[in-house]
Amino acid sequence: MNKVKPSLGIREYIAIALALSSTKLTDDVPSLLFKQGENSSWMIIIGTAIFASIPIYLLVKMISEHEENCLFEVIHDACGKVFGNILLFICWSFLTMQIIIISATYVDIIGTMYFIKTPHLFIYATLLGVCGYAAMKGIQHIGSVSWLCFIPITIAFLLALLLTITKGSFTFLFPILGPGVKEIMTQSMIKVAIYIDFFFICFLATYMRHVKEFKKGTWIAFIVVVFELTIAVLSYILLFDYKTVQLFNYPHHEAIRFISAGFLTNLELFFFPFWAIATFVRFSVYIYIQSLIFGRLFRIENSRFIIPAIIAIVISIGLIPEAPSLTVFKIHTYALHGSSIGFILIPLLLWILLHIRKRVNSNVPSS
Amino acid sequence: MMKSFLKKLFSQSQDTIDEQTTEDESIAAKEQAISGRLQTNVERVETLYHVNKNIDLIIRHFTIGGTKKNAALIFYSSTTDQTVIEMQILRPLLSNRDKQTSIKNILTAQSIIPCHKMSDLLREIGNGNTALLIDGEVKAYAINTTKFQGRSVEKPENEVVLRGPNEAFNENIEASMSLIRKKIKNENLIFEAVPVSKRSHNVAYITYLHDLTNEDLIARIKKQLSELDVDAVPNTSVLEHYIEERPKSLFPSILYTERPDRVTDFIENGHLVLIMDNSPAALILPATFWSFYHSSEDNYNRFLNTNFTRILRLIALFISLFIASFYVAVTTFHSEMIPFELLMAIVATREKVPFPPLIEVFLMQIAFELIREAGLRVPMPIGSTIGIVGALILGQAAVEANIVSPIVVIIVALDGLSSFALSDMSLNFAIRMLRFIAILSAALFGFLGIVFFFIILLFYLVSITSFGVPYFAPKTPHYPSSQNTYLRDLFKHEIFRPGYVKPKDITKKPRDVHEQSKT
Repeated sequence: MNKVKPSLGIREYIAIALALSSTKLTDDVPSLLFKQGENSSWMIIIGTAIFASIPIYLLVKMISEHEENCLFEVIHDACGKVFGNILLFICWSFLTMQIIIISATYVDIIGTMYFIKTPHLFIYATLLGVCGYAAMKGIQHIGSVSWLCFIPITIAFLLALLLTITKGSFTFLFPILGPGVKEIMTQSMIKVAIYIDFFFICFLATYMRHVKEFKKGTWIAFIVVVFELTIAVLSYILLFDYKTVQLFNYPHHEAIRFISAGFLTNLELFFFPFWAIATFVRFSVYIYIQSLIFGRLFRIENSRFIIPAIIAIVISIGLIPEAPSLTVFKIHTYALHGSSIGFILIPLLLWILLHIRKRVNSNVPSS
Repeated sequence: MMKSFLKKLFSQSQDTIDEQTTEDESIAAKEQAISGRLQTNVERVETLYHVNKNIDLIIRHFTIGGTKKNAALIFYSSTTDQTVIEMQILRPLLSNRDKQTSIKNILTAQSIIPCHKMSDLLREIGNGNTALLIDGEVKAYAINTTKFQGRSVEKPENEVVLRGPNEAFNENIEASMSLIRKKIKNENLIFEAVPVSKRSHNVAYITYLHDLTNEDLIARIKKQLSELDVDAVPNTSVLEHYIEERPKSLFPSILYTERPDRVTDFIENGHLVLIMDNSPAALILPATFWSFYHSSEDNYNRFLNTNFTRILRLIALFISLFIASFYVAVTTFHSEMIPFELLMAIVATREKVPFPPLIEVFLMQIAFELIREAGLRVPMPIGSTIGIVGALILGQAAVEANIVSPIVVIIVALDGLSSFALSDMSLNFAIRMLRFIAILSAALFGFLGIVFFFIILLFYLVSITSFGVPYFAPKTPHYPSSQNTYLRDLFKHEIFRPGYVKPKDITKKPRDVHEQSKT
């Protein structure tokens, strides 16, 4: 009856992966697509998925082939200690940037759509405070909570989707190719960082009970996320048409304001708690992974104690942009494009370096 | 202040020294061996038992027939069976004619235990046995004559079922053991006695199936029990305080039940049970969230009925936790959420109420808690008064006096009703107390506050353990088990024992037998 070693089962892993990636459909990521993608934005999701599957495939392959199944070790093996740490630092910066931008976005969503009178600082502090508490509890517990909440959240999401689609008009989808194949392909290339969370979640591979579950879980989660995002973006187009949806920052929250079910005319607050729970899980995972990388970089044994400091930094930077609905949106666009490059290049680089090292190593004994 | 403190310290230490000397003397007297002289032994017993003050200790002197030896019987008249003493001890001894035969052949009592030390003798007398001291023998005999007073096996009062057995534990350990043995007729069922207190000599019985229950768990509990350094542990309710993992947590880690059938069900799944004398209930451990969520009737109702009740119970749990906070959040922050007609109705009734929703809900909640507590303590004949006070004064009159709005009465009533649907008292208390925190967080942050509260609660719950078992196992983290969690599967599909208790045999019945029964 010894204490159970912290570990993640496949269910918890998939729930975490979905909480990280599929909550994107509720923030400003869909609106980032609508500008260029117009009524074919849903194709961009599929296009990015095709591009994203290459780095994800490489990551999963490298990690599952590595004896310790740990991305940290893979990076160190491929790049050596110094360059490995530099690369880790780059990853950490990407993640920190992402946390700051996304948390600012979520605070803006809550502040502009639900709690108009509450100061942003309060929302920010409580949101990240709770997530920090959750992150300090450790990844196993985050996994457990996300799995326990997974089914209710999914049901709420499917219900919202169903109501949105039944209200929509299919004619808004045409012309089916929208701005043209070339534009869709370009956008798919530069927006591939929509799936960058699958890179960060690979840092959790070492906590999985079996590497097979990690492999299986990642691909299941990836397919479900692609499906969810596609359907969600499609539903926004069906409901609003692309011209209107281009004006929105947070189409999901506009959509749930638009729909109704029978005598219930205002459903947004019914969906709000589920969305909020998913958000909490998402940020707790982000903060956990961030502290994990930080702890590894600076050799802090109990990295959970740096979480309060991380939160303080995130809040103080996240509150800087004024009029976040406009500025953060702009910054998010650039950040997405920037991290797309990293998302494609880093796994590729690691793979090539590992390959070269392997060759060199195998040549040494034979010679 | 310093002076008084020093004084207190000094006087305390003086007392301790005095107590220590008398205690040492008494310990020394108890550790003596039984002397060969009857007179000495009887004098020692008289001193130790303070015979001049102790009215129910009886010392009966007589001469054994045949051998013509002087002897004495020592027993408590309150804890022994007088007929047994007369028929099985006194009569055979007095009417004996044989000069050579041994005591064991004269007495017709069921069990005779020889005691060589004074302390053993005292323990046996305390257990309700009768001590026989014979002049010239350096040992005493403890003869089984126990008869403690107690009630008979009755119906369970707190865990009522409509289908299923209706026996409950009572304060008699023999009866409790008998009730368990009646249900598990297996030689591997063990009742292992572990002393748990130093002064009152209370004993806890660890009950488990030898070929099933995890050895580490048994060892852990045994160690924990034997390390208890307390004067008295009167019953299992008190024992729970000493061995539970988080005494200050709202959530229990040990299941307290008065039903032997529930106990046997858990034992057969590899759990471990503690029973004690003087306890009308047993402790089951480890206990997960699900064991508190399930009720004893879940095993007896038909498959669909059980699952229907379980869904109801889940809804009741959420209603009980959140409906009051939901009301506070909606009326304070999110009035647009309610359909317009209902909103108008609420606004119209709230118009005359001078308090904000938070105060209104708090008032009614506390009133309801008072009715509940008073209803529990009130003597039976005036019990009905509580109902009248509750319904009329707090319900109708409070609304008419514009202290609260009618919808709050409905909400609090629904809340109370739902909390009764959770059969386990510990979980019930936890939910009732948490509800107030939920209301406060709703008043602060509306729905977001409720979500904050819920997330923190959930993270707390998944992080706690009961004797090494995560609270939400086997749901998360996943363990092989019959997945008897939110809902229950058909019994014939239940193949595994709960993996989280790490039983020695995880399969309930061999898989091939299961397959055969299918075909």
